[in-house]
Amino acid sequence: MPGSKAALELVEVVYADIHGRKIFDGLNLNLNYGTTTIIFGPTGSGKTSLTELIIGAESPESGQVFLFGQKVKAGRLVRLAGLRRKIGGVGGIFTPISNLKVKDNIAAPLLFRRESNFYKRNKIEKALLDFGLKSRGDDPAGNLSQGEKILVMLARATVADQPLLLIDEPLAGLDGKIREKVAERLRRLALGGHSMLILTASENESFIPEARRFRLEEGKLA
Amino acid sequence: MSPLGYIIKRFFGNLWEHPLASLGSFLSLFLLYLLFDLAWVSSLTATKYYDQKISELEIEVFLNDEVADSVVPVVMEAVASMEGVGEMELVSREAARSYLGNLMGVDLLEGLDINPLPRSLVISFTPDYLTSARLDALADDLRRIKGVDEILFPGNWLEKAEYFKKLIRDFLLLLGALILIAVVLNSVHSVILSARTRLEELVQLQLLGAGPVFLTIPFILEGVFYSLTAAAVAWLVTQNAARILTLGEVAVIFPGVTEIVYFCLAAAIIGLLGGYMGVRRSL
Repeated sequence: MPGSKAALELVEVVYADIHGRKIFDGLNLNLNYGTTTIIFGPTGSGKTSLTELIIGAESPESGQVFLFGQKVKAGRLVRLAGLRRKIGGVGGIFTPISNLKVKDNIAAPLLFRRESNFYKRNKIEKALLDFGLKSRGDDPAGNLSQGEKILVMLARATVADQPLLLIDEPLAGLDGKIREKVAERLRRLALGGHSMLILTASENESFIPEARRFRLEEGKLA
Repeated sequence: MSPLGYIIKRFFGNLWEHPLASLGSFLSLFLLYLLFDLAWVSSLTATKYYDQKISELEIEVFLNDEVADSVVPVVMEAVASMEGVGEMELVSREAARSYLGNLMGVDLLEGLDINPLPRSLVISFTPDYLTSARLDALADDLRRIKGVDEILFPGNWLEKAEYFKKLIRDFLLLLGALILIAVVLNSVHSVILSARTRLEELVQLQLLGAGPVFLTIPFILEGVFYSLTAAAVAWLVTQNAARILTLGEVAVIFPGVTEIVYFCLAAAIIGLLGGYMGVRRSL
């Protein structure tokens, strides 16, 4: 049974891709509320597959995935939708919606919240300010730089107080000021008590010193 | 924004963000419905014309010379009591002679001591009664009446007319069915294209927790909108075209307002089904 403190738990997960190549072979992971875990893995090691299993886009061959104590079952769309509303995704399969304005991107998770429009607008304004996107609110997200897109996704991932953040390659392709800016935001989120699972290819990332660290090796975490 | 506000905004957004695709979808459905309307109007007009011609059909029953003039009313009564008989006119020997004279331009019987022309009954029929089978049966029944000598009726013509009527009806039914299938496929395809242009948004919304109903409703609305407006505009065009169209003695017949309303509702339902099928195939 999943632990009550776990926002996310994977138990003995076995998963193969469509070509039959085994990606995970007895993978176990436990992410408690308010903690951050960073998983390192080279390209092709299964970082995106891990995200897909967590959000129920794919099913493991065996083993189980639990989100907030509930078993994740691919195909049960209504239940999955409820679970996904508690997840903020950044990078990987999560991307900004190019044709929507920045503020509409950030507003997307709030669509499913039963809150007043006034309250929602305030949250969006606050997120735009917090992530330094105030001047880009009316621009289409497709026109942004890579760094700004990461910031939009971070704003979107936190605007509805999502209890779990899945972050895939947050610093890939970024350099200079924007890289430091994104790293700073991630540190702040970690310090703010967000539960975060960060997937990255580079083992040199040390932007959250207090995070637990694992390496994806031969389908397991080491 | 509320989910309903978003659905309405995206529904109109789908239409305006890709105006050429929207126009293409609308026009292709419009043309299909226009073709359907023309087939429908043609069918009604052809049926009405056929019924009109059939209602003009008459049988002429010739009485033999042995029937005394005093017995003719009895024969007429026997004929009038038969099923399907509408109006009946007695053509006397004198009237027959007059008709013949008018037809030929001269009185061919001039100089003869007697008028050899027979008396006859010209019978017309109640509406919707006549078929070739009934006409044959009626002719047999008339022949059995004492005093009836000969019967003149266009049996072959009616049989051929019925055959062509059935042929036209079957063709229009087939055409209508094909058009409806094309409308459904077109609706599905339009919505699939529309969904594909928004695939990134749909996928991301799914990942953010949008449920299936939330995602499908704008596309279903789109399917209903295209189909309903195309059907309604096609009717307007058909109706207005008929005002300037004349077919000689043939009046163009249109369905009633209620039937047109039902037709538009059916178009909306087809659009709904098309939209649902299209978006389900895309997500």
